[in-house]
Amino acid sequence: MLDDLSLQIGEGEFTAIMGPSGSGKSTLLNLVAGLDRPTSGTVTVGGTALASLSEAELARFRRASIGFVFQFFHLLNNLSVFDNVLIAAQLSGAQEAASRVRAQQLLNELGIGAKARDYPVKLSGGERQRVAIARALINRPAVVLADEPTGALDSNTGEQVMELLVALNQRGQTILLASHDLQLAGRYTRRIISLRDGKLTRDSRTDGQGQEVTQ
Amino acid sequence: MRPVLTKAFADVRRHRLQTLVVFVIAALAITVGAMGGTLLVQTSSPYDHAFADLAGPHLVAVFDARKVTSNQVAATAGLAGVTATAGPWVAAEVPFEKGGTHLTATASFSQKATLTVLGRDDPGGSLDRLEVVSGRWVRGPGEIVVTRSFAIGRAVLVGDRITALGTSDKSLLTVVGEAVDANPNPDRAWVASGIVASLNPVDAPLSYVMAYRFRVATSRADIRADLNDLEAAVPAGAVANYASYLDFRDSYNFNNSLILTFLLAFVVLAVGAVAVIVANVVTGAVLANYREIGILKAIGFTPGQVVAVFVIQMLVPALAACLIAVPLGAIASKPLLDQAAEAISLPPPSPLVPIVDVLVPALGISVIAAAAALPAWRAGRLNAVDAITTGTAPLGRYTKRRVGWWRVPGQLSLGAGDAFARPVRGGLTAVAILVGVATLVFASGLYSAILKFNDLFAQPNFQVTVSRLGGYSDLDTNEVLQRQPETNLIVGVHQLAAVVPGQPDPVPGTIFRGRSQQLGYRLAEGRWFAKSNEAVLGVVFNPYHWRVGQEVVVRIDTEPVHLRIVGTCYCFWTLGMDWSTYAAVAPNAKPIDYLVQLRPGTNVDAYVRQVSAAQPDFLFPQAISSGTGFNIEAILDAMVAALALILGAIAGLGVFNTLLLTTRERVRDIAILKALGMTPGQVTAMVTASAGVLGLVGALLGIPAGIGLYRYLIDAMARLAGFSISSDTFTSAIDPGHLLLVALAGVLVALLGAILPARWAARTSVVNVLNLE
Repeated sequence: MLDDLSLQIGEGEFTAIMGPSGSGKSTLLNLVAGLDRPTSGTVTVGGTALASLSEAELARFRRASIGFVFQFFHLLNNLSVFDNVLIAAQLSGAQEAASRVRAQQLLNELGIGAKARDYPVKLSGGERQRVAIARALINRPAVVLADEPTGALDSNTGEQVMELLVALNQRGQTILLASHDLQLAGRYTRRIISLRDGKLTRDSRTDGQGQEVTQ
Repeated sequence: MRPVLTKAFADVRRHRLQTLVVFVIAALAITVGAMGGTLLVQTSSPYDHAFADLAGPHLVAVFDARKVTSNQVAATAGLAGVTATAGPWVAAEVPFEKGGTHLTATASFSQKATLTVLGRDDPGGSLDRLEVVSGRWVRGPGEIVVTRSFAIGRAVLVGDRITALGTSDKSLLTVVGEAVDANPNPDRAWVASGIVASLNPVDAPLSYVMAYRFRVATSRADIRADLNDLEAAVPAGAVANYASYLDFRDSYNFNNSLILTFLLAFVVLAVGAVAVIVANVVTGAVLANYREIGILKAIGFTPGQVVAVFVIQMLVPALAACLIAVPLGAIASKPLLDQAAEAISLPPPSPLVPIVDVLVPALGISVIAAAAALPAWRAGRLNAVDAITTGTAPLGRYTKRRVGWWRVPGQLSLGAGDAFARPVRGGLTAVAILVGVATLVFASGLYSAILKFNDLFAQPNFQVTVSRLGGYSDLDTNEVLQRQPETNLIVGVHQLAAVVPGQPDPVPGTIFRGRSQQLGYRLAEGRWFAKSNEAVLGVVFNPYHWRVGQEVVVRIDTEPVHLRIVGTCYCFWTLGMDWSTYAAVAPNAKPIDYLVQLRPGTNVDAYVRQVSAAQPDFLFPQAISSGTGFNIEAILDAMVAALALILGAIAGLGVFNTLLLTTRERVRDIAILKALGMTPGQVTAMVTASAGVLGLVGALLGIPAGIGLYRYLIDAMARLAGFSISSDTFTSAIDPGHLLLVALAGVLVALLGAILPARWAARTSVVNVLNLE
């Protein structure tokens, strides 16, 4: 639940939404992704006001503009790694050949190119999350939403995933990360928005080393 | 047992929709089963009951009173093989009218212009008793008792007055009663013995009718041997006609056997479909509830108790279904029972048959329990730890698939893959559709075959039949008919039974006088007869498997006649031949029935009135009704349509159930796809595509299965009817266009079954399912 929350996230920002469990982090991400609708107020992404969109239009908006990375990966277990990535491109109606090339390219970049023909059950947690990231990126979304992407991973693997997200951000990708791990968020993101009981309690910028630079 | 029941009933309450599906399909199948069982029991035994209760005779022989005396006939009671007799009763063929309308009687496939009136003062006796079911027996002149089926068929009521024609005084008789006996033919009536001669039409012969029971009479050959003894004991040619109890029984059983054949086939199909769906439901439940099964075993449920939990979940709705299905089956079978009873002139039997009402539900329950127990056995064998750890059954290697062809939208290729994500479940569902499609193919084929049958055996090109009474000459009849300007062609006919030497049964023959080739009977092979001693063979009753080109010898009026078969036609008689062939053995014979072809544009009813007015007492013209007189198709048609609907519903519910299970099982995947941008419409398309694939597979396999079933049952029907035609005759009756429509219907049924699960899938809440908060 969110209450009286107003914020703007700029293009190319890597923003962390922080807060304890139940603070409204995931709700905020769901609203941005168009998976949920606000009872009042507006959500605008890239100039598109989501409140006015139908379910089908929201789905099309998600395909085109949003890449979602979940805590528990949410891969389709009966599709291969390659097809898990490819299916998002197919849903968006992208051209086949180019999508295949990009899917393989993303998997290679994320270090799991060799696993393309494997099925998710054979992968480690970190590998699954990389597949999820590749899937989130295949359509070149305006925003990547990452909901506790390291929550189901051990600390080393979590670090690797965060480094991947940073690398993406450095190439201009807007990323909105929900996390309850302040240390991790402070180290990798440039802006931290803190929520408690659905209200904005703090909006700060960091230097990328965990140090706050503005308030 | 208590924990098993507690768990099973809790699951029943939790899975209300699934329970409802099982309840509906079980109710449909048990209804069909109860209907089939009731008909099987109630229609296979009444003839035997009637035969026993009314002391039915093995043989009823008709003696020509011109060739034998009453005493000579009575003396046949002393023959060595005879154990009991009744009669002889003097009999006459008498035409009747009521209120100006000629009362015809149905006999086999045609109408008869007269009733056989027997003089009988007492309906009782030790053999061939009659039971008066309405009114009373005759007490004197001026009274008549008719058969119950005649009374029903011709709307004659006790108290009505009917006029005997053919005599100068035109006796008026009051119908005082309706009677039944072990003879299913309705064309009989009884009067006081002293008045038969006064009713006999001028110049018509009287006859004596005697009923016999023999020491040995189990087969047609036995009856033939007994008849030979009888014929030897009386002057040559004195036995004019006869009918055995085997003929009566076959005649009665014919229609019911056909209906039963179809019904039982449907019962098997319906029960099979239900077993498949129940197995499918339980398979799904086991796969989806690994963790729960593990927990049950961990807290102490034995493998048998785990199996029992699943079986009881299926038995609860099945038992509830029995409560409504048994009375429904009884209600549905009542019209058929009534009709069957009417055919044999007996009061309709009760549709409540205790043995059926117990046995059919018991069998249904057993099948459902077995179908549930087999997949539940898997649950019983699961390792508790593995089951708890795994949570749900892992998908097998066959379920891993590619995103598919890029040209096919992703949701369709994903949906198509989902159809067999659980191969057993998908296969079982396809089988349910297969059964439905096979039924539709069969129903469509049967309907087409009936149309083709009607077309092949449609009435040839004559519009009126005219019967004359003995008192009126052939010459005069011809003159009356020729005098009508609308008359185009007159063909005299005579029906006879041709004895085949060395064979127990004679074959029916029709002798034609005149240009019979112009009557336009449909030829199957060869040509129409053109001269003496040539014959055309009917394709329907060809018991001795004669062929075109074959020379056969038959006995007509005790004389041997050599015949060469020159063609076959779609006719109900076995041999058709020219009058010249008959004249060689019966030079003085004249036809008493005439087929009249009218000039085009003639008003048939007006023509009938004209001829009737020209000679109202001795000529009985009748307009020919269209069709073959083969009226069972209406019942079969309605029954097949109803059963096809039932099986279609079962198949549709099967698909519904499968997709419900699949959708529940794949709810997480659906939510992920929605999160990735799949629209509700695409989700609907994906689930529907899955149903479409199941429907297509079921339809493609169901078509050959249906054709096979159709051919098998058509042949079985032909065998029961004693027809010599086979399904090959009607193969072309199955229209490829119909098959395409049926295949589409199969897919449509599957898609209909998918509507609700698809809508539920489309409404899946991503947030709730993926637990995003």
